[in-house]
Amino acid sequence: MFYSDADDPYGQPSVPYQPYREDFDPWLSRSQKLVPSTAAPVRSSQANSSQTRMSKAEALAFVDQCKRWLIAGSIVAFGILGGLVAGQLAGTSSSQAAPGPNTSPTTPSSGGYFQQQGGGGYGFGNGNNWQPPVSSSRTS
Amino acid sequence: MASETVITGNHLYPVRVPPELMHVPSGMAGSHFRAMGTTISVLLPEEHLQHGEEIVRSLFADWEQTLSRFLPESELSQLNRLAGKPVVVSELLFTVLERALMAAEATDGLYDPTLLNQLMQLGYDRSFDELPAELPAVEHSTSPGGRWRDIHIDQALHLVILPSGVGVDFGGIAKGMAVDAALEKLRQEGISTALVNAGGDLAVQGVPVMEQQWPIEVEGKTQSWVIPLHHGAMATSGVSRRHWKQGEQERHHLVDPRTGLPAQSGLWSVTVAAARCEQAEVAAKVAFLLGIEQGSQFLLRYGLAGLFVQGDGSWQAIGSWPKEAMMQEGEKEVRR
Repeated sequence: MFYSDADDPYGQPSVPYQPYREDFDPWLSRSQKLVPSTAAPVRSSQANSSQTRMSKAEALAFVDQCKRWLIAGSIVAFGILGGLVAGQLAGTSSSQAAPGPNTSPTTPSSGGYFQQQGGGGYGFGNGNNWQPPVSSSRTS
Repeated sequence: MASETVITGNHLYPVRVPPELMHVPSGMAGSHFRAMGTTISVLLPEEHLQHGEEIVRSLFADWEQTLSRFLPESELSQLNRLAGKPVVVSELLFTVLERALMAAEATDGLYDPTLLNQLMQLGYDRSFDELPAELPAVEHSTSPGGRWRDIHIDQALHLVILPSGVGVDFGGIAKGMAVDAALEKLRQEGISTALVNAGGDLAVQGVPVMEQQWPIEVEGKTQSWVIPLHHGAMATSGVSRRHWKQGEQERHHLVDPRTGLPAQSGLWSVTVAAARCEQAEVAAKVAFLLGIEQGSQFLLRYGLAGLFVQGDGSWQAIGSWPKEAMMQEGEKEVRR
């Protein structure tokens, strides 16, 4: 099966049959493929009215190039996104390892039964100004 | 008691201030009641005092009825009588037992909830309020602890099997957990500022209006200090109160599971600050058993702060414990 291309001066099909373009093109969904093409007759009739119109081969080449750019762009975007996620995780870890001045310190063994951060930790206030006690911790 | 006073600058207060005589921050109100063999104190915003006190009082009553080893009909006492048999227990008893076993595991058995028999042999067989200061000598063989490793629990069924001849005494961990649970319950009821103190095991949430912290008295052997707790919990283990004589032997309630006898670490008390009161209670007891050197390492390993008071009255602060508050309190004098 060949395309009938009116712009081909040699009367030859401009592009050989390429079944992967119809059946295995990953950039087209199944529903898109099933839409019958009605553009061909229109293009044939419009071809003479525009001298600057792309040939079929050029159009397909252009589409192929677009696909390559799309694939390359996707790979670059994925890489950037992955880098951002990794950076965020590293930042979170480092911020957790730096306790505030009044909070309980995080230690390598802070997990498990004596985990402090999970319970909100403990902290002391300003010990420079004496205040009367409001309660007492003593041997009971 | 009335002759014990501390002078700090212009402030004068007894060393062992009764809870009802403690300072009450502006906008707050206090309440006190007896439960779990000790005095429970709460500080709450004035507008929440009645509701909040009911919540805390009800919670402690439930916990005591379930977990006291001194009440013959408590669920714990029934469980102890059924040692060796499978028993389905309430969610509360199961939860506390499960946490106690976790604490035992985390401390390599230095916290041991299965020392009931050892305590009974040492004479601590009734509520401390009813315990005479002197008991007759009793011939008995001492045995170390560690039987907590033989307790079987099934979480799905809330099933517990104690080893035959073994009894559970939760000690302070139940009080600490009750304090944490009370604060959580208050928080659920929309009371975000509170202090709950169960005989010296305390925890706070929020800060009173116009205040920046909760000044907490920490009692030493010859003096006391005021430590500014901002958030978290604090608990003290020591031998100043629960001690007695058995024949010629001095006894106290902090039994070392490695020997089955009262600990001889040379310490008077250990106070620990932690995120939760349960953790502070267990850590204070374990640090006391370990002594000042190993106990300090233990606290540092878990990022805890603590104060060790030795038998001669000297002290050592560990971790982020606010030493500046201790130094400033050096002006204090104790009259006896």
